[in-house]
Amino acid sequence: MGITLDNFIQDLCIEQLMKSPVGDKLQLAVHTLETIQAHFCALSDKQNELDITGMKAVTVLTFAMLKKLGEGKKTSELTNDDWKDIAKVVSDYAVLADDRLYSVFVFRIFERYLLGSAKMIENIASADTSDSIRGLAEDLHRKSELFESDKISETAYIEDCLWICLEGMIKLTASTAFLSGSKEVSGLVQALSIYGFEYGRMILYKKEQEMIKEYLEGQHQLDDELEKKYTEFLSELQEQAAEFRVLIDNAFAADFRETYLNSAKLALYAGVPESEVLKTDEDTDDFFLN
Amino acid sequence: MAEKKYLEGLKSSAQKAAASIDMNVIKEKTAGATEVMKTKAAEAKEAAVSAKEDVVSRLTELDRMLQDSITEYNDAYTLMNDKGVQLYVERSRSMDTILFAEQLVNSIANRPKSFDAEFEEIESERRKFTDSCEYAECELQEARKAAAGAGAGLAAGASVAFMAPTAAMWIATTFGTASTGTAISTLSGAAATNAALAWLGGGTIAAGGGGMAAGNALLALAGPVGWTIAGATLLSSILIFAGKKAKLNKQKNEEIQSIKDNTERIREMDAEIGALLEKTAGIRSGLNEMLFKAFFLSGADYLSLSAEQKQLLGAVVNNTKAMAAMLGKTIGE
Repeated sequence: MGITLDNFIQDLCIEQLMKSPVGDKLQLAVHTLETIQAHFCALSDKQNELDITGMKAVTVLTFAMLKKLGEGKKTSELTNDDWKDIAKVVSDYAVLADDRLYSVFVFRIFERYLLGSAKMIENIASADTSDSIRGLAEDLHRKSELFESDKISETAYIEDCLWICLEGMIKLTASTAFLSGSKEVSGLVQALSIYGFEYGRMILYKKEQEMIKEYLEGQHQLDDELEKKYTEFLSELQEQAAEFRVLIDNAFAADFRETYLNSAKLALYAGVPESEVLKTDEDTDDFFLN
Repeated sequence: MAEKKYLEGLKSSAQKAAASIDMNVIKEKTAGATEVMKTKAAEAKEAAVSAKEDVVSRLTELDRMLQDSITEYNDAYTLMNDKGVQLYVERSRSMDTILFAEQLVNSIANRPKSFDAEFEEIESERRKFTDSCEYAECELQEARKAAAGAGAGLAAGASVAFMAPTAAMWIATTFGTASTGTAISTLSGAAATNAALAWLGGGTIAAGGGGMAAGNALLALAGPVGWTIAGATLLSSILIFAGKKAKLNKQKNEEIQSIKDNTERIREMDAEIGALLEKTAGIRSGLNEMLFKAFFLSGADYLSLSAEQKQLLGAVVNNTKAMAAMLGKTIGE
């Protein structure tokens, strides 16, 4: 089945959701998502550390506030002590924590998120689906452990975790396919979503693979070209050097007449203007007497 | 009337067609298609894993190529630079030889002669290249931004669940099923509210889901709204990061090409300097011997010299001029 990455993204996109009967009430959700995406796109081109810290601070602030609200309080009921607690959490995680720890913080949250979501879908999805989501949460946990014990690099850790989290979100979203109809259709919708994810990931990796392969082949080709160029250059230089050696030997020969005539040749070869080279006895007389 | 009749005709045809559909066959075909999709998904996953392993291995090779090419450049530069110093020393000595020849010639010639000789040191600036550690650091910073973005997406989803209770409630009441299995839309009042929010929030406390009241704000995201927002943000993060990595790898590849081109140029310069050194040393050695032979002619009356002695002096003049010309040579001529 020819599912393209574009189609796959479109299926996920909240814009598609908006076209469904569910979606036309999600104006605020779309606006929030677009704001976050635009901010992230702009951030990815910026080098300013303050901007990243700002994003981290907002993220942690949101979680800290939601925790307070989850404890039953409304925003208007938050006391000074509550705000101090929130500010401390933000400073601990967002500003004081180094970037390495922050990545672990994010994926630990995703791990709990996946576990909570798996529990939530137990009533509506198959056991395989919720087990699969729990399996992904375990994968995240293992990755965090590997990273914290320096068994994988931070870049590999983040990249692997992003894919695991995305797989989780897709499976969870697909698990609501029961809304569309029968058990068989919902099964097919879920299978299509998962195939779309795997296909998309495969295409991305294959694209990267092709690119790197092309680079390496180009480099080997360049090596051959440069070696050939150098060999030719060296050969020409050695030819000239051999000619010069003969001229030098002749210019300093034992016979004075030979030496005199060959010294003229050497001077010309070395680039002395012809008018300044002594080629005849008259030239020599002129040089010393005039 | 005609329109109404037409529509009734359509409706009747549709009903007949629907009645002839064997739902069991449809269900079977759907189940079959599902199995095919699952198999294809597994195949795609295997291909992705294999491609990823290959990418990691090839990237290691590219990194090694970068480091090796920088080392080769530095080695070639050092050799070239050392040879340049040798040439400078040789040329400095040659100046002394020229000075001696000038003194000899001027002791005999009627008018003072000068062998215009000057030279400059051959200089080339050592270039600095970006090594694989610096590229790795750039890649890491992009990965960290991707992780930060993913976290922000999660927070955004949580905010929506709280900030848009009416939308959330609408979704939940229309499509949600309470933990007890009862459709939320059939509940009323506080029971409907709690069930709806719990459906979005990860199940009620009684069902062990934790929910928002358990203080775990994270679970407030557990629902279609949060999954979709988090999923779309994750996809953005992954695609942007993939784009950044591709850009870095392209830069790395171009850097390696530049280093190799520069190394080739340095090697050529090294060979040229070597050739110049050999020529300069060859002439200087010969001229020193010649000056030693001609030394006894110092201060002589030119007109009283023999033809051979005059030829010797003529050769001294030509070879000294050749020496001076060599001193003026630069690389690339």
